[in-house]
Amino acid sequence: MSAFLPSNPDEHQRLLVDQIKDGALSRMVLMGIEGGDSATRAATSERLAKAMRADGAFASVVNGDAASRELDQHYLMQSRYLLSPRVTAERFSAEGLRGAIQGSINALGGSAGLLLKAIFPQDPTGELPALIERMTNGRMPSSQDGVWTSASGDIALLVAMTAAPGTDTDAQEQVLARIRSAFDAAREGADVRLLMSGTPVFSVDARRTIRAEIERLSLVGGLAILTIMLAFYRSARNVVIGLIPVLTGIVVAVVAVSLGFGTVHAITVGFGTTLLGETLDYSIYYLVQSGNNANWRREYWPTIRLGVATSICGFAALLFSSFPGLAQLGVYSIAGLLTAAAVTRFVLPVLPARPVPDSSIHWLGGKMAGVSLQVRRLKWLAALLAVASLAIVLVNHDRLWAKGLSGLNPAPLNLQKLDERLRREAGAPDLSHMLVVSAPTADQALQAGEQVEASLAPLVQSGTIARIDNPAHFLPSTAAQQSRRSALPDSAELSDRLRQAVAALPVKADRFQPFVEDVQAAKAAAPITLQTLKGTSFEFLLQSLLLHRDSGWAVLMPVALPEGAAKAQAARSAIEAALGHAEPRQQAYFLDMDRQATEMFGQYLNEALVFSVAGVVGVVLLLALALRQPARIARVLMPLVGAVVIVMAAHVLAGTALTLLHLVGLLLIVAVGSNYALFFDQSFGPASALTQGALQRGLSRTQAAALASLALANVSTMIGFGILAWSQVPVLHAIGATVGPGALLALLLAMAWSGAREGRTPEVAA
Amino acid sequence: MQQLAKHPGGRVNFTETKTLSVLDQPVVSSGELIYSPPDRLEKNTLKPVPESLVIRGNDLTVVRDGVKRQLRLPQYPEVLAFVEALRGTLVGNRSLLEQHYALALSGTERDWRLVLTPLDDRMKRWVKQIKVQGSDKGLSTVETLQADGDKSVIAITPDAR
Repeated sequence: MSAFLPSNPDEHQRLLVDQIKDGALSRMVLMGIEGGDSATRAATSERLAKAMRADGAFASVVNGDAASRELDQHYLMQSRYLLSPRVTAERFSAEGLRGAIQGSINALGGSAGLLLKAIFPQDPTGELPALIERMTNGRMPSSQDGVWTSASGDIALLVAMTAAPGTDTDAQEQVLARIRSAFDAAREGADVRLLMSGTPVFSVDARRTIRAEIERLSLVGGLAILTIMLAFYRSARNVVIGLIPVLTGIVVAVVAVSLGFGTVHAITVGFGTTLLGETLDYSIYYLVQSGNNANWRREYWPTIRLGVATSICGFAALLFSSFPGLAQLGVYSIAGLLTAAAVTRFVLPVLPARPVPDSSIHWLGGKMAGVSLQVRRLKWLAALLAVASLAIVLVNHDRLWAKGLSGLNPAPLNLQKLDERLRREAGAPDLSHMLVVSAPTADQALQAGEQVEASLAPLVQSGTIARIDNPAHFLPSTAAQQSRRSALPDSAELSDRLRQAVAALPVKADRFQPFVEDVQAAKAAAPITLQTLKGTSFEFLLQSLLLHRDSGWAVLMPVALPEGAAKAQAARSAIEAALGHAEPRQQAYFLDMDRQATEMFGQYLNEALVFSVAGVVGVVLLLALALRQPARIARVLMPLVGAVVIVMAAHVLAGTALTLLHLVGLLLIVAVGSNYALFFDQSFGPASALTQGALQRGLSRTQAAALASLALANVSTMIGFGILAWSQVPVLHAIGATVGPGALLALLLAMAWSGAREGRTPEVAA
Repeated sequence: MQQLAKHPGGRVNFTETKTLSVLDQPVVSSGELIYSPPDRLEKNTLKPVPESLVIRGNDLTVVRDGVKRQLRLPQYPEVLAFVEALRGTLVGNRSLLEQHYALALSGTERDWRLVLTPLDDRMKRWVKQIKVQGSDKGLSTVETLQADGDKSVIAITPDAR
């Protein structure tokens, strides 16, 4: 969905955008193996992990198997004196050691004693259990038959990080295919199934679904429209000629977008082509109305031209959007519309179209005139409906629009739920609240993170914050490692202090020879680096929490707030206050992802709304210039306003919050509907009102043609867009559910409120 | 066994003495055991460091130093075997005990002795034998001999309260 991420975010938003686009989370694939028995799932998990580890497409794969567990334990055991924040000169003094050893002896008497006693001589100060406690903190997945499982034990879990960036959807698609085929080999015919989720799965799935849905629905819609055209024109040649403006429009639109933006989002082409369905109307108007060319240019072309101009005004609103996706849609639509209109005006008249049979025109025109008269009897009802809808929209104006990203998430709900479950079970970091610390180098960022954590430590102690995670827990800064190293005494000194420490304890100092050796090894050990973490399950946490960005490095420190809204709010304020006192040079801030996303999208939605209002003002000015009479302007505008507010009110009543794509849909209603309203104004304005008498005397060919062309254009629009309303993809559904009904409403309202008699303009009354 | 099966839930005091080769003196802790049939067992250590261990069905929760740790027993077969040794003896559930141990019962109703020898290899790595002693009033000691020669003796006395 990167097409709908803003292109000029501020610093906080940039991090959010980076996270969504390129962050480690965008490369993380969560896998679950279900079905079969526990041993089968475990064996499959091991074989799958082995195959994936041998594949260069994956940066890391963890499944909690013996190999990675051993690496984890080995790493923690080896590096415990550089990793543990408890390693200080005081703790390694004789008195400090006495306290620490007494604590360990007490622990030996406790329920975990059986596990602890084996490492007691080597780790009498209990650094390893303390580290395990801090790192896992109850978040490590459960384990069964030697691999990670869900808490209930019925799904084996794996987490992989792809080598390819999250934005490269093609690469991600291939990676997912490799996982599937590796799984098929790994299950060795057993009846187990693979569940996959994570951002790569979402983006690949979204692209495939949107493409497939657009292709399928456009095909169905297109065939239906072509069949109707063929039935009406009774000429295959006319059908082909009718498609020329649409096709040239699409080609020019694609070229214009790629010239303007460098790349064309797949989604732009998908949506844009649907939007250009409107251009089919132009050729319909031309083919149906042009009994003779000269007449058409004089009588009809100015109306179409005005319709094109109002549509462009509407779409121009999109051009200025900060979302590249919307800006592209704007360019695409405008270029397409202009081209199609120009082709209709200058190319179609020189092509050998067959005249549409009078019988077709009079039959459809007559039907439409009948419908029109029926509808006009309901003009007050229509007015009432529009006013009621306006009231509904005004009353609910603050909950009309969807907040945050959710409205734009193209993933189906079941996939979103699966993702949430796997993420929780696999202990993936929850980044909804976090502290962000930036610095020019990774080491500086880690060090700054340690300082920030230290300044917030009182809040953790007091329980104001439930927990802070920090990549420096796995990879301490050089400075922290150095200070811990220098806190460790040398062999002779340590042995001496140990003798003093255990004088009053039921243990002999000699027992701790392994401890003395380990401390010596730690003093001499090479510093911990990213390389040291290779292959451990901490590596993937580190990749999620230590980010390389254009401007340097950022450390993300997920913060778990206490449960309950009031406590969470108190924690937020306390964090903000504590950060305010932190060293000013530190680039640290607290990020509430949900609030940030909501604010950011709220801001961009507002921007889009402002541009849309500007577009609408443009349309009104344009009509005012062209029509000049207030009554006529009202007559053209009222059906558009009516259609838009009724569609909005229907969404309110259905409980559907509107998104940016609904906004695009509403703009389309204005674009398409303006043609209808203009034609009604031109053909059946006050001067030539459509009355029962006129209908009985027989419609003129001009009027019949106008009505017939409107009917055809409206049916093709309703089919083309309305069919998208059946799509399961929320973004397609949004367009379909607005434009389909909106186009029909615009036509019906234009009919209902077309002037019946001189001097009566119900619109003004409404 | 049948007599035990009739034994209702209740509260007793315990003193646990662990004799470990790494230490020159045994470590002693004491507290109370609370058993609520059929499957809830609570071991509250009060001295020297408070710790609460609650087993309920398949869930084990330990709270020590204000930190809560939870684990699902089926995922840790050796811990489960331990737990079943206690629970199985308390309710006198012979078939439950036989899932994990070879049983040898001796003595009289008033002074009986039950020796549990683990069947599972994983369990054998930790525990050689569990010896349970009791009378018609219930359990009196649970002695665990660990594979490395260390041992733990839990002496049970009726709740004075």
